[in-house]
Amino acid sequence: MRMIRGRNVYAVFLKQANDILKNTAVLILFAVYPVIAFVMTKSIPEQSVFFVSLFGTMHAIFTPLMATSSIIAEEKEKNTLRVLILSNVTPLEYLLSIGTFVFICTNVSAFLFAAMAGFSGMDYLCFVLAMMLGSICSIILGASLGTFSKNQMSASATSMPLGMVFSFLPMLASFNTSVKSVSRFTFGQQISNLLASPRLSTFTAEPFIIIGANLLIIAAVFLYAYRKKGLDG
Amino acid sequence: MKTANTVNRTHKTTAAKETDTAIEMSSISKIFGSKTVLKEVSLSINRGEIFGLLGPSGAGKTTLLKILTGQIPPASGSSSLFGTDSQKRSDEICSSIGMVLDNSGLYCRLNCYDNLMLFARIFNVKKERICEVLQQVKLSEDAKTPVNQLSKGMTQRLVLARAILHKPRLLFLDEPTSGLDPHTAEEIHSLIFLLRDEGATVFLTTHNMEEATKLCDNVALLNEGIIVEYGRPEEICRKHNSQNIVTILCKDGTVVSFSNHSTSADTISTYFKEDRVAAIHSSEPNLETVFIAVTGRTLT
Repeated sequence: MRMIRGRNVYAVFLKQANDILKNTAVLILFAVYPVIAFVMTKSIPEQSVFFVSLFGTMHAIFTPLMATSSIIAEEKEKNTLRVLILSNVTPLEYLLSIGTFVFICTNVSAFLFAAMAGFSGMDYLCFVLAMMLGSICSIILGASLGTFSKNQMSASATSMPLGMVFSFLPMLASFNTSVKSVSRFTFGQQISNLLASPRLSTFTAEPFIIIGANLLIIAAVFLYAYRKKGLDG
Repeated sequence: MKTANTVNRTHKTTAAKETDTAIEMSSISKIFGSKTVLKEVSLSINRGEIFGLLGPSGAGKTTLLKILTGQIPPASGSSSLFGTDSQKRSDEICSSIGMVLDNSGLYCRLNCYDNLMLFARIFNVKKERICEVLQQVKLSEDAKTPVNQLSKGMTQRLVLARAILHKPRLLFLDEPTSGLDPHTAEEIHSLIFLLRDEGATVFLTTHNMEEATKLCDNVALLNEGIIVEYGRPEEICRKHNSQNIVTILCKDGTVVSFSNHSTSADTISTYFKEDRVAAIHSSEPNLETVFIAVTGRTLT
């Protein structure tokens, strides 16, 4: 296996940062849930933890999934990824750059979400770490979908419903016990639970086991997608 | 071994060949499904030459280019670039080659400068070189223009700028002037000559025979995966000059033809002395005519 060259990761990361500023669709994606959460917590302050956990879950699950799959699929569609790989940027370097970029963009708002809910100290840290954990799962899932897709259109067609399932199930589960019994096995529900109550003293092993199992499945899906399709088409 | 589809044009010793050869292909075949796209293609291309791979759409040009650049593996056979297996995408190979592919692969929201900046970082090239190549392709004034606002000709020049940014020793150009107006195509041709003069080897695919005749030191005509003709364009045309006649268009509108032989010299000289010659033509076919004669196919 070839070494990861920091120069290549840095180059693609900077390109992505530059490109995202001109890509309104993806830019809005990163801002929409923090803005909604801000408006709702200001409008109904007594429900701020509920709103923050609700929109925080959507932000940590839906946004990175959509962004990662969209970025990769666009690069495949427009042949820019092929040019990068022919310039000796390895698929791993590329994925690391895009993953790191989406991770940072998503989790900058994690600090804002935690502040909106009024968390402090360890609760604040646990909240941010839970969001980061959720975004890692979603980034890998998004990378799988982007790898599978030929173009942005097909990437959106698959990542949109999947993102909604993982990020909206926790909300639906709060209204329906049948949904809850299914939803508890998804990483989205577990992340939502951790965000709603980010207290170290109340943490049990269950959410981490379920998230870990989800992560393993998602990683396996990614490896399958990568072997089946590859990144350079 | 020299097969029907093998062309060995190198007349130097083996030791010299190792140092002078930029691209070496040996019995390359490629099969897609049940269709054989390339059949035992063998070629050797020297450093510093402009080589043209010619053929109609679907002849296998782009497939061969993809094999040479390590994008797809051959079904059988091997190829090397500067003595290194082309399927191994090493740092050395990647920094030695530049490519203009059938699709621009540019970031359309980014401007020209930023597109080049990405590759300058990857190839560890100084920023000053970006301005240098932008100037070379006459895009200095559009450095800050987003790619999605460039014309097709400007986009193609930017792709060429990206390909030469790291001063590659070998350039692969896939239909570099396809769809461009004659003026822009002319500018691209000048650039290709300039790069050759600077020591680069150029491998271009085209179905524009006129362009190939003008640019290439050597060409290979590819038809249905087989190299049907190889050599210098003018030599190929001369070889297929079956009529071998000289035609004089006289000022009075008459057309007279003579055998292209010393026995006709005196008669032709008389026409000149009597100031009757409006134009004189040899009967050599162009590459397109040769291709049609050899394959029975047109170049579309």
